[in-house]
Amino acid sequence: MLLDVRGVIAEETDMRSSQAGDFERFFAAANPSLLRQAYVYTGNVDEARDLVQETFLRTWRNWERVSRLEDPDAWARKVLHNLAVGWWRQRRTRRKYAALTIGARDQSDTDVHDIASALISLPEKERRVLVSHAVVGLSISEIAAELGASEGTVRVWLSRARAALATELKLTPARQTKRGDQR
Amino acid sequence: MIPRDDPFGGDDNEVDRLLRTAAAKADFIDWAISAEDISGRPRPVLSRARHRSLAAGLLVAAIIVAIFVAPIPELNLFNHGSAPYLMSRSGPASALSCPRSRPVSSVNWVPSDAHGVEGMGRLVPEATPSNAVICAYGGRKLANLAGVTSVMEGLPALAGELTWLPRPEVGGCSGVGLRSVLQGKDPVPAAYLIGLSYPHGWLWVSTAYTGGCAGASNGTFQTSAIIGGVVKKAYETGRWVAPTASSCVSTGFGRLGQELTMVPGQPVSVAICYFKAGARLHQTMVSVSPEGLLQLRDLLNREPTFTSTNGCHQSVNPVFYTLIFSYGVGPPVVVSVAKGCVPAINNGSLQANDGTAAVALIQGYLQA
Repeated sequence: MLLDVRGVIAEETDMRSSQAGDFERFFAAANPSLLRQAYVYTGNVDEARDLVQETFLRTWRNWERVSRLEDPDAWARKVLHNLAVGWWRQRRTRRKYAALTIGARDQSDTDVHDIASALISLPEKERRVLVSHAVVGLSISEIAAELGASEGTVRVWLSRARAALATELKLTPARQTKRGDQR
Repeated sequence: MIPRDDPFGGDDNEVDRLLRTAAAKADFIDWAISAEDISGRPRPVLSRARHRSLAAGLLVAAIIVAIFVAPIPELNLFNHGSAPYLMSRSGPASALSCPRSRPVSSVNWVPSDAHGVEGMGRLVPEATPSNAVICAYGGRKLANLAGVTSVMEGLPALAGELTWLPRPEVGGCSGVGLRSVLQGKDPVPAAYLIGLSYPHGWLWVSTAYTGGCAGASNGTFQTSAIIGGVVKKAYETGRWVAPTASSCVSTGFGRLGQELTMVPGQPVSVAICYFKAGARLHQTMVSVSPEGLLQLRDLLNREPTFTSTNGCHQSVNPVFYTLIFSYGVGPPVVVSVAKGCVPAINNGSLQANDGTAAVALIQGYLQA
């Protein structure tokens, strides 16, 4: 049997195009969910687009490592969340000095703009848990594993986040837990 | 109430539904982001705001250049394209000027053969160039000049890497391989010309970034080494970065001189890559002492050699060892030594039949 001992080099040659192919598949699968998250985080199409682009760029730069992870989606979600945290901090700082609210509102953003403005008032963990659960569709146990917290803690964070958001959005109080009840 | 572990079931309350409904609007927005935008563009995609500030900065820079720099012929960076592809400055080490287009049908095309420097025996002279300019060609047939970058940093690394690239291997890429360029799977393929100026002459190197097989040529000397990736990076950053140390996975493409001697010149170190018992996917790398380096080199060079076919005839359960001989400058020589496959020794350019002594020596090092 004749072996092609140049196989290693051929593999290396194909690696880059193969990586690009893998990334395209990841992009196609992860893109809708990341866009939804970024949209509720920012309440603005342009800002959301920038966050998601930056998330994918960072993922692509680290793709050799990220592609080997058990859950590359979780890695990308974490990057997006961290970018959003930076974005919120900028907004908060600006709000201190000028009466600025989140992003620029446009006609199509009405509901999401209100939600994004309400989300910004939540503590970081609660915000992340609520979006992971309600928007991404992760279960309590999945969120707990992603955050390295116990399921009980995640439940508490989720409950508080819902209550706080309901208050901010002036939803019917009877259906929501008061924020202080869980402390 | 504390929710149960059910993402959208009975515990799905009004807040969740509100969030989900708002987020779902994102599905109907044209976001205009594609995977190609990301993977084909290693540098950050700028946001609109950043675009505006960058554009303003570039405008200021352009005005400064136009007022203070452009009138100086030696620094005229914008003179692309006119034959004989030299800048207007008459001095010997001025930067070369990129042709506006390259012929579509011509593989390995360079604007001119090496002039005043050695271009027959190696891809580029064994000397650091005074200037290096990278011309990128895009468009459907990669024929049109898309941009120019002067390499401002890393010229010694550029020389060290390109000087020692090997001649084409059997079965390796031959020259630039324009067909593979045009059929490349990579989202943004590009052809490149590297213009190198020296105190006494100049030389062009053509290559391409395809995500696949594309070698390089100076018009006379060809190599099957794939350098499109590093050239692309240098074009994008203006810096030529020295390659990282070889690993068992990334061993490079060989070294000039390996077509004459199994282990040419004076390597400074050698590492052995092998599969540990039970590990089928990842090779382990073991460094060998300086004495072992000389022993291995001399032993491998003692065997009679012939031109490599890059294949061997396998008996039962062959075992392969990969020896990576590294040098002070330039790429390593990679020698495969097999137990149970003949010819047993192969560096990509040369093969030798008998690997018995080499295998015994290698196994001795691994057991030590």
